[in-house]
Amino acid sequence: MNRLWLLLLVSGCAFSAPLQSQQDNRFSLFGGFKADNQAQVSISKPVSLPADHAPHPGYQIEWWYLTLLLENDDGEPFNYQFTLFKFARPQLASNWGEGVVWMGHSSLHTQHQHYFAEKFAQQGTGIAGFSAAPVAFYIDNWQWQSKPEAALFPAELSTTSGPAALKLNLAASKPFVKHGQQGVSFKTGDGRYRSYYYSQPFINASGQITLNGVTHQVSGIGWYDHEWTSQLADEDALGWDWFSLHFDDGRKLMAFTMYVDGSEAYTTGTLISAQGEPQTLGPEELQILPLNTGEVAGREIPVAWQIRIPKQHIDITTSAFKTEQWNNSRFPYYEGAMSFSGSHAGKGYMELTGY
Amino acid sequence: MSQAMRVLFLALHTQLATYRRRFWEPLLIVAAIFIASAGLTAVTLINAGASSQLKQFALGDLPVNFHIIPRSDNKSLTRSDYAELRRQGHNALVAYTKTAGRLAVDTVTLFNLLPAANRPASQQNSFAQQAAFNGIDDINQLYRNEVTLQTHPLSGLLVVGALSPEQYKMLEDSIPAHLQLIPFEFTSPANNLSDSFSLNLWAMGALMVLVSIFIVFNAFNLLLAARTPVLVKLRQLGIGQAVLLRVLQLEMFILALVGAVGGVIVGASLVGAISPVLSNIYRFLLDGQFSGGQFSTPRLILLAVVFCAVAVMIMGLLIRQRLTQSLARRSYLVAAFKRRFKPVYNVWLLLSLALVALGAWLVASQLQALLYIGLVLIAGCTTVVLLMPQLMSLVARRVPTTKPLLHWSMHNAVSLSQRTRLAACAFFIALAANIGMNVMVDSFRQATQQWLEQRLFAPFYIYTDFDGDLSAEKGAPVPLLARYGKDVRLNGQTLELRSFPDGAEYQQYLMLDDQSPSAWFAFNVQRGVFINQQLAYRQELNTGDTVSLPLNAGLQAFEVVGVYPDYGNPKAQVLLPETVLADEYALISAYAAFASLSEQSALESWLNDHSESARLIPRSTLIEQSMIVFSRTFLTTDTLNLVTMLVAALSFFVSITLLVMDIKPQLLLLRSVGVSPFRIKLSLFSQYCFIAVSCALLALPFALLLAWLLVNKVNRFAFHWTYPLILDPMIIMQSLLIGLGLLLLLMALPLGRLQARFYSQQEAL
Repeated sequence: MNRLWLLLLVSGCAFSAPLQSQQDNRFSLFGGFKADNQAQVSISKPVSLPADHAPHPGYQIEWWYLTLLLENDDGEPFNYQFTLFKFARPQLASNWGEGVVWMGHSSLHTQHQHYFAEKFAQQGTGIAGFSAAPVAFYIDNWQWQSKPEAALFPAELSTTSGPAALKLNLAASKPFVKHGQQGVSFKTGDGRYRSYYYSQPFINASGQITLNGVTHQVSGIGWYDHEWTSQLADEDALGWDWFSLHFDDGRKLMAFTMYVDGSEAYTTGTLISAQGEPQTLGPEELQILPLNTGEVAGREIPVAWQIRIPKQHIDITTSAFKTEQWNNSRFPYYEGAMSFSGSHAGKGYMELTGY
Repeated sequence: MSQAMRVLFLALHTQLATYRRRFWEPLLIVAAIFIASAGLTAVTLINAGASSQLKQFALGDLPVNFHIIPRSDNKSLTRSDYAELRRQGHNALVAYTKTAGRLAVDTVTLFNLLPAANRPASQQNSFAQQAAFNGIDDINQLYRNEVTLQTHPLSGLLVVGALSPEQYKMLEDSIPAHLQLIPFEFTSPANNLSDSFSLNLWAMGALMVLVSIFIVFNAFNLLLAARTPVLVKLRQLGIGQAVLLRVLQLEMFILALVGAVGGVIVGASLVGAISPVLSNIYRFLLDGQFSGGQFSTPRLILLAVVFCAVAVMIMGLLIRQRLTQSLARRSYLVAAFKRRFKPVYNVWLLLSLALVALGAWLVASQLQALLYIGLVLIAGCTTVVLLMPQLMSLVARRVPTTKPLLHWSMHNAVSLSQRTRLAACAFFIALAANIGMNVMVDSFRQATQQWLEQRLFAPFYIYTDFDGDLSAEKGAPVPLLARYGKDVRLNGQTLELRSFPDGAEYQQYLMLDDQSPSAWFAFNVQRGVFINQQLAYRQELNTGDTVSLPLNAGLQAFEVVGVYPDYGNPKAQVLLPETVLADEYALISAYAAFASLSEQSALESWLNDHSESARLIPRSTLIEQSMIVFSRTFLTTDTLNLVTMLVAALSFFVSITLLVMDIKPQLLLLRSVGVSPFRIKLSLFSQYCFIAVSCALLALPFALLLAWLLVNKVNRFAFHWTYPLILDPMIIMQSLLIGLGLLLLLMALPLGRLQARFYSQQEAL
């Protein structure tokens, strides 16, 4: 469910200056927006793969999200996030473009450096889009190219991030995981806010990262999300704290707390067994609690968290890979790697918005 | 060594030997050329930097220096070419199509290139807003309905941001054969103040070149005069005239080279030192950094060398003639002048000047106007050369012989003036141009201020991109008056239709140059319209003429009932009654808000609820900001003006100093007959004053003619607007006194040293 707010910011007309919310001191992300409910997220029409890997033109916003935890041969970390966002801008539709705007984010963290790049392009101009056979996503010279006959994985990812050039091979070892009810993910208790959401948390990645003239052979694990909706673009959405965790015992956890003005904060998630079996966690089964904040980009961000799933005897504390993991994009947000310890150990990614 | 070379070397050696005793002569000549060269370099660099900035197109802080376009009309640039290059990683490329002088740009890809930081949120979130912020159109808005890539192919791909040489090479290597990468130049038609600024820069550059030419030839002339005694002796010793000519040319070239190259280096360094200041000015004015344009220091040095060589060659032709005369008679200048110039010529001269002045009315184009300014300056220089010595003689003859020192001073001043006429011409040009431009700028400033104060009648103005009519919204705490607008095409030109409020109380706020007797009645009954000067001048329309405007889905004829000034607007404009446009407006350019200070916060609050982009600006702020922009625009030209004046004054000073050395025996004689050093100093200073004031007085009428030409001809044809020429005595006196003050201050400097020399000479005696 993560990241949609970014799209909303660029997907519509003007938004007002950020408002201090009544809830949790968060900033309203979508001042002046009301959700476009033209295309519905409905349980009667669940996620269907592989067809749903492709873009969904009827929906206002959509994103394909990849986070990788990589290391080179010397064990140096290279944490990488690649995201393609697509959003409908019918007012742009013309003889030049199709009124669909793609936005790409590429963010590479080494131990001491952060390289971030952002791209915009319109569908129909040949600069950004999707092709079905074989599956490919592209924006400028960034390209996700699936192997022939493959639904999505294995794939080759070719991107840049500032001075870094990345060529990575991605392979999935388990089936895709649908969140919520057959891929229909609720964001609020009353179900008013929801999206289609599935993931591939069992990714093995390897390849080269060339940085400042030095090519590093890298390998590691990754997490892929695909989500689309029209119902989240609303000024009441105040942000979220989202986590994707790789347990050392092979299990995976997706967890988030969504903040909506006038509603209780809604916490939910999916615990995935090492074999790929998902188990949806309701608010009563999952707790996500901030522990410590750090000053990032001039604001206080909770960078350490406690995540508890009492029934599963999971009680872990996260620790950010580094405090400064702020994506200073046109619409800035916190996105970065972390590790966790406690009842269980492992590593993952977190995204924090609305700060 | 051949005999000829030995003779040449001997003659040169003899010439150079004089340096030991008269080292001030070559030094001052080098100094004069150095000053001219430094001044010309500084003006050229500032001019080139500003001009390149004006030509440079920038999006936000990013310059657009290059673009990719088809090599020929047969092959077009396609969207596939664009996509292919971007997918190769050339992500600084942004497609554009040029229509009606505006750029329609692929704003979506541009969005990513423009910096995210330091922009208000309201400017970040919309491609169209971002485009408008950068003064361009959105390509998606262009390609609608019947406008397609087939009917309107892409014009090119902008290369947004600076390219390193490596990036340039990579891009050049990547583009397909039917495309080419070339420099991009585009000046927004909306930036007419920059056009005016550009014209000023061009004029200042031309002026400085003219002044420098006079200075260099004056320096050579002085050298020729200084060398004549030695040349006579050498000729008497049997050295051929051709050898002497070559020696003199060689010496001139060496001195000119030293002065010119030194001047280029110092001038370029000076500009480098003040470039942060210039950058600040240009960042504000033109949204860009200052750079010296296409002129590097080595290139300027090369130009200086070529300039010196050409000047020496031209001098060679003059020297040959003069050398013959000089060898026979040293003080040929005065004698020849007196012999050749007959009083009857004055009549012809005055008649010619009158013809030049009257001919100004016939100027009918921008080129003619600029050429005519050249003619006026030449006429002025002729007057300085031919008339000034006579006028000064007239004054000198009035001085009684009973006052011998004053009598000598005045007559000596006449003599000095004849020998410094080229320097006087340079000073004359600089002074006349300075006064003329100052009068023109001051007139423009006053006209603009008066126009703004009259036209902006409401206490506040609202600017917003609100999609609708705010004045029609309910609940506004104060009355709002919308200025409705619609842009149409008329005779191949874009024409702005704008509303003017109904009601007699607003009539006083429209400044009119010309109006028919029943103008407002015709306007109110929708029979008449007011047009701006730009439309009147471009399409030669006057009151009483008829214009047909595309309104109500047809052409509607209106009578032109008045012409109004509209400074700064490059477009033709028509004012229509509010009721005519209220039903079919395409835009609302602004709202007048009749709010008192106590109502301001209520209005702001109401605006925030209706339009987040709305800006409420007080009338005083609008006027103040407009005048600040005005002042900063002309700051550079004021500086260039002053530099030119300083250079001309310095050159004049050098000439006079050099010539005063020649009269040292006379000064010593005066001292020996009991004239005190102070009185001698006073005498010399009065001579300088006499020459300078004579020159300034002659410059004044020419300066006023120049100002008239600039206002009524250059502005008229370049920008299609004019304004009243305001002859403010304070501005004229100020310009005059600055020029004279600079000159006299410089001339007063060596007088102290002269006193010490007298004492040392006396002791030696």
